[in-house]
Amino acid sequence: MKNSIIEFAFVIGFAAASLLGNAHAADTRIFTDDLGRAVEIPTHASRIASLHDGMLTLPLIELGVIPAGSAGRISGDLPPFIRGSKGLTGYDFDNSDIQFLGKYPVDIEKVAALKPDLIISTTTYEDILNKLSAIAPTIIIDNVNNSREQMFETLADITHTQKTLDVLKTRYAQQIKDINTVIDTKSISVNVMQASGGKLYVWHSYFSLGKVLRDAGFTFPKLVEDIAVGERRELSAEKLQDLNADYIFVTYRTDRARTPQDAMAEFEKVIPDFCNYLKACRENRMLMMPREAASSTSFTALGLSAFTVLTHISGNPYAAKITK
Amino acid sequence: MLTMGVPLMLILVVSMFLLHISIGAKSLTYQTVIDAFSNFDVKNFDHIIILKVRLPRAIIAIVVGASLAVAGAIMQGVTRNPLASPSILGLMSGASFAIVVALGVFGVHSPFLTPWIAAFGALAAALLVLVIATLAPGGTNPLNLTLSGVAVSAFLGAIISLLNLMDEDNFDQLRVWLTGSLAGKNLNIFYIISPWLVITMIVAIILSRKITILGMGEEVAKGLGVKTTGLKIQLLAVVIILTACSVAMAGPMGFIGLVVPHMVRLFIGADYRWVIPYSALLGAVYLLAVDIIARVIIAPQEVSTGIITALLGGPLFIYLIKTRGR
Amino acid sequence: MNQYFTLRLFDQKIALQLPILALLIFLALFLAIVASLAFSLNAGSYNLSLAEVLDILLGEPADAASEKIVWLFRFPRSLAAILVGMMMALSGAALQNITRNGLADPSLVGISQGAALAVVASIIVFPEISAVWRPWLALLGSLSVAVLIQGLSYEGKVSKPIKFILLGIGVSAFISSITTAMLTYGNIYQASAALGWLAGSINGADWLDVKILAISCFILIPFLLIISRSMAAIRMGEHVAISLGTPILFTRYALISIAVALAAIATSVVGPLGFVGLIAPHAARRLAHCGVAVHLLLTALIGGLLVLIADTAGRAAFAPIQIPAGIVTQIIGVPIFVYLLLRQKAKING
Repeated sequence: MKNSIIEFAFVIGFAAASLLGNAHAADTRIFTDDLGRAVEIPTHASRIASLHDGMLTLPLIELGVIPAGSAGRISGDLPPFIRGSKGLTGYDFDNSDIQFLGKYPVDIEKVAALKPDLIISTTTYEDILNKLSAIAPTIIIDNVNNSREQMFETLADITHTQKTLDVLKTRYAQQIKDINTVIDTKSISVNVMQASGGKLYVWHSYFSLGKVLRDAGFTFPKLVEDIAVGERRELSAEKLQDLNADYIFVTYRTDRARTPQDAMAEFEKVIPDFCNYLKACRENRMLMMPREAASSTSFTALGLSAFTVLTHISGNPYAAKITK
Repeated sequence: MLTMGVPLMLILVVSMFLLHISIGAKSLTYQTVIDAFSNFDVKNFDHIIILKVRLPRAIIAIVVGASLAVAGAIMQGVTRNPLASPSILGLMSGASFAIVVALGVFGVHSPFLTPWIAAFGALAAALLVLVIATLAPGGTNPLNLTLSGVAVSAFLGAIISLLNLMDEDNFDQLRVWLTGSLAGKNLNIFYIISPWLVITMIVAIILSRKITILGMGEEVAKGLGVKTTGLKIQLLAVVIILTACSVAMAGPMGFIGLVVPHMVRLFIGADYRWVIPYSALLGAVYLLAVDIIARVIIAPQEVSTGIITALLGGPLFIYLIKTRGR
Repeated sequence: MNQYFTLRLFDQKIALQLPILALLIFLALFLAIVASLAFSLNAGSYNLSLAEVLDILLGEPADAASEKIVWLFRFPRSLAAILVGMMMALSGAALQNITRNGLADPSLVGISQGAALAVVASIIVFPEISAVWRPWLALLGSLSVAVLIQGLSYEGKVSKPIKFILLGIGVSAFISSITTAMLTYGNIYQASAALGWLAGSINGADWLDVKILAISCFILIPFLLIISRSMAAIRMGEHVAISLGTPILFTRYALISIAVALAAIATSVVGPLGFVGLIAPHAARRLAHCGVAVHLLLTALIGGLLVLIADTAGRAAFAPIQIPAGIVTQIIGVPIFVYLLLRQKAKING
């Protein structure tokens, strides 16, 4: 009995898949995703379901493609939101037609009810790939091994927005060029730090801000250079002075109404009066940035980071002195 | 013989303390350590490392290690359950749960309130476990206590998971704390709770003779004129204060209260007049040693101390059941 | 309650005495599962009316999409929930009988934690391992822990049930701390994916999983029923069993193997599910006094019902937020556990 049900289901599944396939046959193409699967996708997808807010939805919106639905976050009493999106793109669930599909794991029936013609997912959902594929052609983007630039390229390829991406890339290249025109980055060291739970956190490159700093050619403390690309270290408070740089960037949360003072208070917990022992802080070269602008997968975030770097370091008497 | 051991243990605590403040992610000479105390220079970061980073950490390790070990020793004596300890009997999860709810749901951050919140949580969980075990057929026997402790911990754990699920940003902040950590401590909470701890420790030592009698069985104790119910309430208060203070300072730190009293009894026997002070001293040595390992094993990174206590404590626990659970 | 209905087949070559009350309860539970299944087929974010669901079940779907919702998502998921619940419940019953301790449960003796460690390690330490291998890793993890605990508690011919449980608690705590370390120091994205699995979700269950679970049930449950007589003897105590001529060591290891296999396979498909194995056998015993075989059948039905309800509630109650079934069973399960602890017979504590 059970076997016949299973077989029946398979038959129905195949029938449905081939029906769907035929309906779009005129306007599809084969796309090979990061798992090496050749997927038949609509050439111009009009209803995309995006299963990760920060890594997929945000880049899609910047490419000019508004997904029909997206995974999101919930936090305390706040309504569901797309992390970082309101401040960087203006779009969020409450002011657009983007449907909230749930947090992790997304509600697969909500995805189905969306009637998407394309599902884009991170590798997180590899285990329910067969179910997603039954709803619509599904592309998996490897968020663990791919850089953010590669993810943008893939998304632009899928959505035929290569031109938009080129414009964004040109804009970013110009922003880096603007930094290099007025700042001798080779002779200035920088670092991005966070304090939490009594420990210090540093990154090889801190997401968008880190990319700007690396692309512009700044130098980093030795301890940071020793970190592998893409990794983070949590260090003992005793290493505070080894993390000093000409300019230190600190980020603070915005989604829970945290302030720069909250971020600094965490440093106080690591070392009382830390500012006296960290030269950059003592001499007012510790710069605060909202975390979404410094960390999101977004060209707007890259631009904001580049602008912050440009305005804070260029023309500053200190920077002028050390670059001579 | 046993009196001789106390100064020896004290020397061990002091040496371990000195070792703790002498080594760390940044290598400092012994001269620097001495200078930090004798010739403190507020501008010298090395002195700051010793006095503001390592010293508070060492002091808290001593206090937390001693408190949890004594709490465990008392619980094992009173319940005549070799497996009783603050973590297994639900006190730890009660205190953590209260702090997680206070911080995550109500946004309470105050270092003044935290010990009280923890104490309240520990008390509520302890009473719940005790009530369940007492009402169960067979009364407060080892199995009933262990199982009601496991059940209460599991329930609170599930609620914490649910809260995390609903608000993962808070989880991100709390996940290090929930493993038990000694990093980034200052002595503010210590100053607030140290009078309580001193009083509680003195009470524990005063009551220690009666714990030995209680350990011989309820009937024996009553026959010897000990008012067992009153004594149990006093001891419960002692255990709750010790656990709550520890959790407020360092988060939930498992297995110390289980392992240390057992090691003590292996050498000292069951006389609680000695078990209590020795547990306090050995608990201090043990947590200092564990914290040294946590700080240097992958320096300049650090491991949460609570993870190392569980990794060392788990096998010890298993060994104790194997050899003593006959 | 003492009325029996005797089933005679093949000229009385097979005669079964069945307690009527237990049979009625069996029937009631079966109907409850069918009703819950019907409800679960109708519940979810995708709006389908009862009539539409019926049409789909009768093979006359209104459209292909709604058909997929029922046949590919809801049906296999609900069936998997029932099967997993049955397996965890039976595993718990077998463990309780073998240890003569009414409080044994696959998650109390380290089987779930072993699976968790293996899967979390694969997600965080070896992210290049595909999610497809998770069930096998979970199986490997729980089997290793089961062997470890067995090895540690082995003491020759006479077993100490309480030691088995306490060792299980110790090993579980140790293994959990390693898992916690990985979750704390792992990449946050990977950690949250691992947490999703850890909480126990039947999200991914498809027809292949249902097939695997169903085949395992078909193989393992008859075995369990066959040695249920020996089990009954063991429940009277090992010395009684020896005098009745039951091969204790064989029965003991056969039962533990079946218990571990049931729990490990179930866990491998859906992640750790706490307390089902603990509650279901007790609830069954409370519902009807009956022989071991019937008791096991009732246990299985209660387990299946519990997980089905927990999973349906978890996915539909706060949609689109999905609450993993593992958390729901734990939150419902602990109060029931405490109730049972208070009501158990004192002799179980031996």
